Amino acid sequence: MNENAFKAVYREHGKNLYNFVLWITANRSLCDDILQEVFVKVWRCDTVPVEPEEQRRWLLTVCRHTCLDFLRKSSRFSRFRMKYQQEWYEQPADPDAPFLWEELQHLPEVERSILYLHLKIGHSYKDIGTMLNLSENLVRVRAFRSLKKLRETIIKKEL
Amino acid sequence: MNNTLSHHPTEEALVDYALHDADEALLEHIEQCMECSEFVEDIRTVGNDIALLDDEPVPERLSAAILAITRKKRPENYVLNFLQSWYKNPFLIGIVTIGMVLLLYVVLLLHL
Repeated sequence: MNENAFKAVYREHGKNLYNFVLWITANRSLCDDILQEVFVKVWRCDTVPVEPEEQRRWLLTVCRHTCLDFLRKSSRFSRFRMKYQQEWYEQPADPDAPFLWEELQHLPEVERSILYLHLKIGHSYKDIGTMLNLSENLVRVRAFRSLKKLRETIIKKEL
Repeated sequence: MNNTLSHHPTEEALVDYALHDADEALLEHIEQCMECSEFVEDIRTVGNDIALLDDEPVPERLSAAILAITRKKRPENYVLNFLQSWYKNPFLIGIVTIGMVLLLYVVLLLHL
């Protein structure tokens, strides 16, 4: 990949990837390292897809794998998370956001990824299944479970 | 599927309906059933709240660090380079020629 193509990829996808990593890790410090690692991989890769949709799927997949590698390697992840979650909840734009964020962080990583890819990016269950190496039906079930869980928690909070 | 007022659709089908409006057959039941209608509305609200959560901009210093990656030299692909240019190296041509002569000699020895 040449320099101009690399910069174009960053301009097009950088913000989405940054927020996807934040969504998975809830940790700004880790997010910086992961996003840099992702773009080092992009820079070194000779086979980055050119077709925009395929490129986006490829980048999100690389991004998620890099996140999981980082989280696996970091045995101190739980401590990290507790330390930085406070920072994560600072000054949310929506007054209900802190609660929703907190509840999202209680979901398993795979369910958070599914919700982000489906509700924020707009990928179909089939595409998400390909990216996460799950069947379309399993993606549907995990999305259902996570939304139901969130609904129940919000109802409990309101009572 | 029997979606009468006494036979509710599955919650999974209702979530699918809430997010995609995919199954029009459920519409009639949902319009008449308060319980399912509330469930669909709640799921839609949660989905919308998630979709509307603000995205954060990439911090300036991180952006600069990522764009600076291109200043790093890319690692060379040694195997590909070798395959593309081995024949330009006189030493390797000599080695390959000697190897082929020896191979031919061995083959002739075995057959004679």
